[in-house]
Amino acid sequence: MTTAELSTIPQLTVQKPGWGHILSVIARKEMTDAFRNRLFVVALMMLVGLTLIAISLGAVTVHQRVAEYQQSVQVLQNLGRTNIPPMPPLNPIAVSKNFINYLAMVGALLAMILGFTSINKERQAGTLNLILSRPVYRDQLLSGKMLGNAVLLALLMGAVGLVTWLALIVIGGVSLTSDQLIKLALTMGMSWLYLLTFFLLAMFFSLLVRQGNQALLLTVIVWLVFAFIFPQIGDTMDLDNQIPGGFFASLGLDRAGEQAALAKFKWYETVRDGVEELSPTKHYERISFALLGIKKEFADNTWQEVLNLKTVNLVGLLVPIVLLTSASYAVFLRQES
Amino acid sequence: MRMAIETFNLTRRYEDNVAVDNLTLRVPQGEIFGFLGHNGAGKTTTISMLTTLLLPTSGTAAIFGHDIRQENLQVRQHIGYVPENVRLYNDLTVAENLQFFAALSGVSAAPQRIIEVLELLGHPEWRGLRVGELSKGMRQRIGLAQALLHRPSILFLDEPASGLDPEGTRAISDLIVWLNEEFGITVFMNTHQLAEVTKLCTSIGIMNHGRLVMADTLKNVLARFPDHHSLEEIYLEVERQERSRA
Repeated sequence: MTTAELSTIPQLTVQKPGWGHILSVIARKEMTDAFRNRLFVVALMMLVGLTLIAISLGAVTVHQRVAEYQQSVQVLQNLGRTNIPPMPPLNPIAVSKNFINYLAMVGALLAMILGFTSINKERQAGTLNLILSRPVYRDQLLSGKMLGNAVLLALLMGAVGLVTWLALIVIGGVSLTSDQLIKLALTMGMSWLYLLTFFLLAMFFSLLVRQGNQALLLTVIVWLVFAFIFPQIGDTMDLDNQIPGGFFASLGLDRAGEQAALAKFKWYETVRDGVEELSPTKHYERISFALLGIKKEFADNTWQEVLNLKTVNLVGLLVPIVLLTSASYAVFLRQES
Repeated sequence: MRMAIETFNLTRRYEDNVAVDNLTLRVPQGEIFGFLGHNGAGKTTTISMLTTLLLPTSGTAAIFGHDIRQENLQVRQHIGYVPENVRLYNDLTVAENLQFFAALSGVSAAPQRIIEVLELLGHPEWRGLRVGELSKGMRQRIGLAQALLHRPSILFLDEPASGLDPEGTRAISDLIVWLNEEFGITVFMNTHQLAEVTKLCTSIGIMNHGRLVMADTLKNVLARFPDHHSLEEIYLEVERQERSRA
């Protein structure tokens, strides 16, 4: 090469970067870019605000229940009673219930904003071609984007879990058992999987449809169908929801009677359940509510038992992630420019 | 003489439409090559293939001897590419944008290199500005900066002066000539600005409906049409001849 040196920096070298280097460079850029995206920051602040309110209110409730018990104990002790009843079972991690509802809505929106802008912004700015004119493969680019956004969402969920734990200690005045801590961590893990699903959904449509507005519209439609319409159909079809107070209760049937009645409509229940199970939101709610002990029947189970009982819902959360990731690679690797 | 670009029967089809039709071209190292043609003539498709962004339907091409299909990573290490209307990441600063592209190219000592390239362009003070705040001319120069970070041997510029005012056009042109003369960088540029081509380019190629209808040094092209006073007249004459031939 006869080209004169285009640099006077003695230590300057240009070497083919490795796989890991490229992934981390793209992932870090994704994270920096996300925090400079006004729409993402607004949605993040909404989610953080709602989460803080929900967790603080929940922690205050826990604090009140602990205080009420302690007052009762004091009264009993003042009356000279020695047989103090134990504190009624308290499930402090159930304070996250409202957070689950907010995350199902605002969190999914946040993840979709990330997925949509991750590809669409590159297309609009013409930077996709700039990246691909460097020693970067298409699968490296997509993997880096997925990694960066997955880490970002994981950090977000980790922070929410930490805030919940601290709020329960500081405001609620309770400390969590190791089982409760693991259940809280697992709930945040499920929340991460849930957000990842909607991030990947938006990313997939942005890759598939080059017109940004059409990609966004498709994403929102699919989100509405899977996150709201399917669970709504499932709820509407639920026999027990036909009468206020419960259909089976109005007939005076106990749990066994209810099961016996439902057995006669097995095909109907299968269809209803099948519709609900198409929804990642339903899987997320079912496994999270079980882990947090909001569903009474799981309140006494350990985290391992809950995971065993709710494997179907865990698989239900993982399947769309695997499908959307594979579909995104298939689409992007076949594209040119 | 070492060839910077060599193509042989390079063809790209989009379904029934032939965007580039059997392009055979040789551009020696150190040239400033102006690639001319009407809109849709196949100029951008050619650049996209040479920069490995598009696969050819048939034919071959090599950049400094590296095949664009088989050795695309080596090709990418040789080239600097500035697309038309480059916008970069608006929310990041100039330095952050350049840092990102330097890291992707495997440039060591990137912070010093970024300062050096910005000084090369005469604007080290742009470092901390957000790209979204820059004018089109400034962005175009930052686009050029990102292409220079890894010391490329050849620059591919797609309409580098598109949409720029005369001052911006002049600044970019001066920069291209300086990079070529000072560092021997080969330049391959798509352009419609024929006046600039006359000032800048050492050789030109004219595309018409995907076919290369003329490629020669600027001196030879001007000598071939002694009755025409400008490159614009020559270009229009070539286009007219092609229309009548069709």
